[in-house]
Amino acid sequence: MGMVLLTLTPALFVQSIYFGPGLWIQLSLALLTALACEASALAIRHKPLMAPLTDCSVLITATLLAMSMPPLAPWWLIVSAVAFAVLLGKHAFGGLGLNTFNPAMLGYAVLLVSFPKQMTTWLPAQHMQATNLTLSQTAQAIFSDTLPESLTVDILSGASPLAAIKSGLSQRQTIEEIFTQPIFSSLAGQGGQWVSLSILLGGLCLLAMKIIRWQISTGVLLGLGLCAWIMHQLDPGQHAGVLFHLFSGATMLCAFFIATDPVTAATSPRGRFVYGLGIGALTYIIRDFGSYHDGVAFAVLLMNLAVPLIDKFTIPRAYGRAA
Amino acid sequence: MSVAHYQGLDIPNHKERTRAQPISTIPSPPQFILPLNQHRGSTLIPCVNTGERVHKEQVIASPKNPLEANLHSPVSGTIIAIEPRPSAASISNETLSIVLANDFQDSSVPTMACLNWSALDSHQLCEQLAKGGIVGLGGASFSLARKLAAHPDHNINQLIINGVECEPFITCDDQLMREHAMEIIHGIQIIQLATKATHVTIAIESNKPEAIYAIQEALHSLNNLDIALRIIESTYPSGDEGQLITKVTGLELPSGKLPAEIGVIVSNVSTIYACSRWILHSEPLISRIVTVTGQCISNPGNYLVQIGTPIEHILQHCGATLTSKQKLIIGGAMMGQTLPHSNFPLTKAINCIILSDDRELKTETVEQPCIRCGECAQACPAQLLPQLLLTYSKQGNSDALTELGLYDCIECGNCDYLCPSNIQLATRFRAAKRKT
Ligand code: SF4
Ligand code: SF4
Repeated sequence: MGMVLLTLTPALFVQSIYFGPGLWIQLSLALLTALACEASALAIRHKPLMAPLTDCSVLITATLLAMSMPPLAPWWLIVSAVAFAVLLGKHAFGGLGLNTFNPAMLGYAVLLVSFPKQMTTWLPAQHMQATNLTLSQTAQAIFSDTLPESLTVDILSGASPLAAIKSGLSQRQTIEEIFTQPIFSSLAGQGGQWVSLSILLGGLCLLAMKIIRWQISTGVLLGLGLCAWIMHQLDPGQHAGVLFHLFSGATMLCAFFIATDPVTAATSPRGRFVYGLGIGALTYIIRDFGSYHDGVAFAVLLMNLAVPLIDKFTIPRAYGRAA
Repeated sequence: MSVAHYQGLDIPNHKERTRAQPISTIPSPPQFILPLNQHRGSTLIPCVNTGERVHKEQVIASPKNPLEANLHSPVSGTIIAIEPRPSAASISNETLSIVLANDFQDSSVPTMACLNWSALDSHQLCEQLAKGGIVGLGGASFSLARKLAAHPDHNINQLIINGVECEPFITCDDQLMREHAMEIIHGIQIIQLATKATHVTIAIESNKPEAIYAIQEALHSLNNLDIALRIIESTYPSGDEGQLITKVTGLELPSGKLPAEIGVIVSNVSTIYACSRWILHSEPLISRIVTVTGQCISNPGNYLVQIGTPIEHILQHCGATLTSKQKLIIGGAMMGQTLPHSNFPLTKAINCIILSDDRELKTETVEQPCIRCGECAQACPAQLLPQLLLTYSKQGNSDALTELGLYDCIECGNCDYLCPSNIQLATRFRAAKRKT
């Protein structure tokens, strides 16, 4: 599973270029917390340490969470998200292979529900570049919650593109008007679209290496894309288009790195496609009709719950058995 | 979704060591051990007593059912015991076996006058095959006569001769086809008569060009236009009975049915060869060709070995002794089984002996938890969900296992081969089948 991490690195670099060096601090915190939690959980459960620590799965969980955190979020946010993910999401269920829920998404959802404000304060890319925070200034912001002069509270409350659409629509603006805001770019959000593209690239590498199979990823993109297309056709003024949804928020990360977690996905290839479709559709529904900006975490968790049901109806026809 | 399109796995075949090694004979050992469960089905009843002298090729044990296969003495000598001994057919407990001391005289009495086989009807032919001790030599070791006669009311329209030999390491069928193509064709003609099959196909894997050539030549020189030659792409397990039937006929073998029930008979080339030796040359099945190979064998090759020869003796002849670090496998790396020691005799079912260490075989590491990656399901030729079978076999839920097709598992080992967590799925399924 080291390959999964490797294919994520381009996206990490792109994200840090657009959103500042906070990502590296969040990532380090996440990795350290993950290893510490994994090791102590294994020790408490009297399990051998080496194999589980080297199989990278816990590091992937940590990396995914670090990428989902606002770059200047206070340190305790990422630490508790990772701790929740590893201890509650994984070990409380019996460890690797036995967990029902995607650990990273469980950790994310718990914090999103508990600290909605801190979890959604994304700094728009162009502000990050204008102010050009240094690593030490970033560290200060993360660890002691003090911001350099140049960053005003106003900027801090800046929204992600998905959030901007939500608030814009509530102010009776049309999609077209909202898209004139500077945080938007040709495809989707400034910066965000490049992160999404680099994640897509990593995901395609994983597909080419057959580390992940196409069913889930295609399902997610298709599920989300179809819903977005239908709604956009019905009312383009109120609903953003397909490309925007595909390249915004955590869509790509979900399609190639989150939903593809095999442990919590459906079992058969056909089941996995259905599972992906469900995640895509639910993500759209939450984004468009729910009160959260992005729906990936809840969509994944809900579909995790649906896995036994999907499995029941998607057992492949075995050789020599009538359909 | 059509099962017929299952692609198979491209796995290292490890055949280079013994490929093109001419068949050579391993000298008789001083003592033979002949377990009485040589083939699937009933246990044989000895028809000799301790202390009795026997001739070479004399029947020493026979079945209750006349369609099961006789057991013949591989050499002349004295029966020194009839007692339980280890047998590879059931590793966990010992099997009643005839122990024979070789007198190295090879004195024989004529067993059967050469037959005018083309005058026999199919039932008579089947009985003859049983008398000659012919069983399937491809590994399943089902009595050939019983297979042919099992469904006299089914019209057999396809006879498939299996020369695919897709299992890694094994080359004995390849070599047999190269050296004895003509006799194989004669054997096919006998079986064709016994089954009244309208179509006959010889299937050979594409990685055996010399064998394909030899068979082609033999067909040419006999001017035989009835027998089709079918080249099968070399993936694993293309030689599995069900997979092969689907490849050749497009039919799918229904779960729990015998091929004869859909009008097909599949038989291995080495079985066919044994038929022709018996019917045309009156030689009962007292020896077979075995591939002896692996990293720890100094003289790997394809050997003609008498049934009942201790594996220890075979290893010695091939320049090897089993040490604790090595692994002794019979029947191939994918579907074979590991033997705990070399104190087992060769039975009719054993086509390959591998002595190797971890460098060559998939190294045995500790099992990790199943991460439900689904690789096993992608590779399963029976289109099962091995990861779910694993869960239920751990729970001992035999109803769910049956429901999910445990009995359709062909034990090919693809799932084990691909599992990133090193879980021994096939081994578990084999055990679960025995239990439920
Ligand atoms: S290949 Fe192994 S780890 Fe993967 S699903 Fe199958 S049993 Fe589980
Ligand atoms: S051993 Fe059985 S379950 Fe495993 S791949 Fe082969 S047929 Fe499928």
